[in-house]
Amino acid sequence: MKFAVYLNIAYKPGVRDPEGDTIKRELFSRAGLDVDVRAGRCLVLTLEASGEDEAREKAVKLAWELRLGNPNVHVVEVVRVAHA
Amino acid sequence: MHRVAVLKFPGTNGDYDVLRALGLAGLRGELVWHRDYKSGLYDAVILPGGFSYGDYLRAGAVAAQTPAVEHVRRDAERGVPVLGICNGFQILTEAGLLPGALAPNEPPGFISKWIRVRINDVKTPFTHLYEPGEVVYMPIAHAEGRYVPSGSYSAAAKYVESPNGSFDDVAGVARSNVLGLMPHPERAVDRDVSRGGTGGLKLWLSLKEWLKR
Repeated sequence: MKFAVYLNIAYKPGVRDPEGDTIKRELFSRAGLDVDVRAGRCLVLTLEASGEDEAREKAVKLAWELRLGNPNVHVVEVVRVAHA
Repeated sequence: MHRVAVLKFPGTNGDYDVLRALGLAGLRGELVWHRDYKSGLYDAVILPGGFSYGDYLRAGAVAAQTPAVEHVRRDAERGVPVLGICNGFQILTEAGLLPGALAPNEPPGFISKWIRVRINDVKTPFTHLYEPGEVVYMPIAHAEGRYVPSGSYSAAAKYVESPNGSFDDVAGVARSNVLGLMPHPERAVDRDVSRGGTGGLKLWLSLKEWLKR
């Protein structure tokens, strides 16, 4: 079966995120909203797996093997797994 | 004649500036397309600046996974001097040849300006002709130059006034024979075209002297 695994690659909580800070300041704060914003990059990996759990594991393993995130500063999160 | 490779990826745009700087220092650079780069052939390798692979994923992240960089790693392990400038520095950190990461500038945005840089580490193949702590002018041009350390690192160069929120004002990092610099020494070699002077020239002369050893 093919699954689409949605990955978010974002800066670790302790690492400053100027893009998120700018969106927060210029859009949310300007609108009078007290909302924290962190930016990330979404990649959708469509891959073969026997089930959702395996798809998720495969995607995360590949993400680190191919350094989709830099382990020094990034987290890689699975946001969603869906049948492709 | 020593062989100095100037490694080119799709999107590299500082290659001809590097070739010219090498020439002014009396070295002859060879432009090498990344698919043609093989370890064991060159006495030094320069990874110039630019936007390799369009900065897709992250600046330097795609180039760092190419076979060429694996060959650069082998050369680095043999002691071959390796210099990454700007996007080249980003490639070297993404590949793990240098520690840490280069994150988006704080405040965000692309910065292009001449800036004072202090050369801290004068033991590298590219800096040994500088005086310890020597301050030189060089241009910077980047959007992702904020150094984020990971473990121990050697700050080979620091900004006198940090433009990008870099940790401890780091402008360059060295690990043995591998050096990464965000400032552009290849654009500070010629009084006729470099309005900020020739602060980068000693870097290329350092390499020339080093290769004679």
